[in-house]
Amino acid sequence: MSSRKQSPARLVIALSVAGCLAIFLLYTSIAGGGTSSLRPSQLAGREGKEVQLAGLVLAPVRGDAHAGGLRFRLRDIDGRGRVPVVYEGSVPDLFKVGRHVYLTGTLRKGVFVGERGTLVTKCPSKYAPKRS
Amino acid sequence: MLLALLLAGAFAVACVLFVARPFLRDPLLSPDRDRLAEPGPLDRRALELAEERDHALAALKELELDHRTGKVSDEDYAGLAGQLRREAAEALGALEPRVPGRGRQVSVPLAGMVELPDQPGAPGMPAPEPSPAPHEPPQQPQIPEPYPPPATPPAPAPVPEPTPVPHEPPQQPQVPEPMPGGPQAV
Amino acid sequence: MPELGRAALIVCLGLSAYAVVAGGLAAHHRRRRLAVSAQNALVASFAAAAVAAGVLVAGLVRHDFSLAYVADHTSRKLPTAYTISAFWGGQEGSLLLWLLVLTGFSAAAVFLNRRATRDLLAWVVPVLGTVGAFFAFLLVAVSSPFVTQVAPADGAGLNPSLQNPYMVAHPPLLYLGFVGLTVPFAFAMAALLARRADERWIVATRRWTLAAWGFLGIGQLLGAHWAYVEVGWGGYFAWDPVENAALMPWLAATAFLHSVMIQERKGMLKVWNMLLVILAFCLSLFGTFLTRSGVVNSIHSFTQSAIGPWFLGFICAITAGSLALLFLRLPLLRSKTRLESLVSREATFLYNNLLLVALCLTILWGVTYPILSEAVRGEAVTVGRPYYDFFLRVFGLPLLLLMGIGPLVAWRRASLRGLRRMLALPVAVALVVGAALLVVGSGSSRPGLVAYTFSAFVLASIGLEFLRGARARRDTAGESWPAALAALVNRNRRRYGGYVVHASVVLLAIGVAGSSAYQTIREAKLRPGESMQAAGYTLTYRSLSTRPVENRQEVRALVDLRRGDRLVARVEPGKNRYFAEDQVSNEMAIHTSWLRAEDVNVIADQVNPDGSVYFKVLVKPLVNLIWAAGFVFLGGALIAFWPDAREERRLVARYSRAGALPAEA
Repeated sequence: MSSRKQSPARLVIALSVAGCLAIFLLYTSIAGGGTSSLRPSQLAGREGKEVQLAGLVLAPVRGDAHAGGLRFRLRDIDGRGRVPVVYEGSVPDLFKVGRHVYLTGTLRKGVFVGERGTLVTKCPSKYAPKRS
Repeated sequence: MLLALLLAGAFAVACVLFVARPFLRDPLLSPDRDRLAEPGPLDRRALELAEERDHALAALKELELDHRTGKVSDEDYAGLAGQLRREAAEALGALEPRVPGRGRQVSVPLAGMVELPDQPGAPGMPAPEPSPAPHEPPQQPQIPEPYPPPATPPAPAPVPEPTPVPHEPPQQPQVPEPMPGGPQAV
Repeated sequence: MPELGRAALIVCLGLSAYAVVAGGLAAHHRRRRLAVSAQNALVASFAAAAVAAGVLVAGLVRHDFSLAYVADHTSRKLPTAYTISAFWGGQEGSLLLWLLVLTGFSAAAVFLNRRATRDLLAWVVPVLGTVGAFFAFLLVAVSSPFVTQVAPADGAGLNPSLQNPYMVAHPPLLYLGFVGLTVPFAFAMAALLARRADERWIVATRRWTLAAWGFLGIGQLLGAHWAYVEVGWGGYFAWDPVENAALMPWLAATAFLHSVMIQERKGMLKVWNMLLVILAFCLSLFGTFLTRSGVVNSIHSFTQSAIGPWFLGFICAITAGSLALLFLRLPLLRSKTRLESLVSREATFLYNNLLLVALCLTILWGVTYPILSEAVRGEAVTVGRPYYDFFLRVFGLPLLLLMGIGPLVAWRRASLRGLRRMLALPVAVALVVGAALLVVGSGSSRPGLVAYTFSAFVLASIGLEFLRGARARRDTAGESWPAALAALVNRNRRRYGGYVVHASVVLLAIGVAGSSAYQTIREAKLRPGESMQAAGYTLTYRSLSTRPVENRQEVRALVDLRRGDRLVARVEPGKNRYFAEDQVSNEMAIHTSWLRAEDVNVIADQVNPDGSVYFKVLVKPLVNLIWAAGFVFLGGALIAFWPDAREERRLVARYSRAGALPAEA
């Protein structure tokens, strides 16, 4: 390393930044940018596309998540849009009418079909968990 | 409720008193005596030099350790150690006013791996003599007298560990003077 | 008493504000009495926060339901330990805990540095005061824990999943970490404000950073352990935004801890270190903003609250201000030295830093992507687990490798020949282990195999470091092996403490690789008497039992776990139904097989009225290494932290001789 040249440190840093960006762009272009997170009112016209749906659970909740599917409806957290949901898989303990949930799935024929095991319930604000 | 307010009031008063304490202790202090001490440019320069010295000394210690554990070969060690000692010497020389009577060259600084009886103030850091043997101490870069004397008695004068070490005698590089732009430009 | 609490908070706000204004003026005009007065204000703000905290604790313990906070988070039947932990169970209380820790650390920082760095301290006070004032302001004006109401008969109770020891310890530890990062930040800003180019601020805050980083690490591991044991979905880390909120500052702090070593040896990377400290602190604030504001979908976050915009504003102000200050002082921070060789320990530290920061930023991107995409496209787009897993591998695996290479490379300039010689044995070990793993079937997961092989390499490298060092001591000092080892570590605490921490990270990597890449998951619906298979185990569902206990009703499914014909264990997965909170919690059963080094987790996913149960079984190899790594991590951090009398003397001498501040006139 000649003493007259610039410190190789800068070169290394610049190359690494470029390298990381390259990896990043490569990944996102191949694997896709991620799943849209939507409210029920935004679902219109999204037949067949996998999205994440977030909303408020409305009564009635019927069915068995392990046999035939749990059926309920989701409403916009601050709004009116509603959509019927059918879900198979593990149901978190916090799941209840009135809780905020989100799950991944696809809209088929007006019913949102949730993917197995993707149902997550947000801790209700009253029982806000300590991790803050 | 009243109790709460009384307690709150008392607490607030206590806080105010505590905050005002410096003013209450010395109410009449003239502005020039009320100065917050701050290192002047000389002090800052001295601090930077001290850090450079410590960098070099710490690096020497690490180098010694690396050499003993086999990461650095003998030739590399000799070269690098010489360079580091130069740097340390430079910084030390710039820091210390000439130390009279220390013409004798001292052998290799020890990286505190082998433990010697602890010398007071000697932090186990190897400290080469600021000047090679035959030459008289290099002229000091101007650290003029008003340099603040060390506040605490155990000034870590660079007491070198005078114990030979099982390695080759150091080739005290014939660095004539600590050159200004010297070892950094590597 | 709520009035006392509110008043105490107002006093705290006033004191912090005074510390900012008076401290700033004092530092600028160099007024000693005013500076001391500002320091006193900072110390007194801790007392005020303590008073407020005391009022809240008293209210909790006395079940004073006229305090809305107490009523919302506790109930009469709640065990006392959890009643006290409800302090940080909600938004307002956790903010108060933050303030308490912050003012406490501020007071401690002031106290510990009152003689040593007076000029630096003069600027530290206003910076710490600014952060304290912000949190005090939130507590006074936006989110007060002392809101009163008509007292109901009983409180709403604490979220059952928070009712266990891990959740009692996890938040305070994390806060000690988050808030602990404020002190290095304050010293860094003070150094810039005081126009100092030396590393006094680093020396003064080295242990603070180490301690904060250690607390963050342990806090996260506790949280992961809680998630694993309590929440019972069979995992320990889900890349949830709130989990990432703690991981990101930890990664930045890790990078900082390493790059500081370069600055100490060569005086370079000064600007980089400043940036890292700013990044770590801002990320810790950002993390808590994410959790509290509800802007991202997270299982943990509080719902939308008024606090979000305030936090965002504060973070923007802090980031902008500190970057502007750094930019202004850029000429001061020029270093004279250069990186000499791309094959040197300094260079490996640099690579390590780059990888850590890259990982940190990719996580940050993943967390903020929904927010940004919603702002830009009107539609929030989330990234899932695959994104994080990919980048963890891309950046994490090379990091793992570097942990093994770094210690073997010499400082300044390493010869390739020397390097080859050093690496030969660890590489050989890694190859042998890799081959053996292929034979036993670990090839089923390529990333897992790579992780295992790299881990073997690193462990071999670390072991050799200890061995060589001890042998070198024996050669010169003739000590016995244990004595040589002890003396070696004792003399070089940071280095060997660091090696121990590296070993803990390797254990973590092995545990994570094993329990994720090589796990088995099976699900089945069983009626009493029926069995299912999973990874060589047979699980037979015997019967269901129901019993009331304290504040809940416990439903348990009795399951026999067999391996072949041998009965290994009887496990009881089930659910708890909490009366007061009207909540159900999952109680996963974990059987740890030490012989086979794996965990068998049985979850009773759904208990049907007819007595049949949906079971989910996970067999996770090597998962307990993760928790063991926590202990090793703690040990290593303690070794590195342990004060070294010799080094202290040297530092005292350095700063008293050069840059001595004469005694006050």
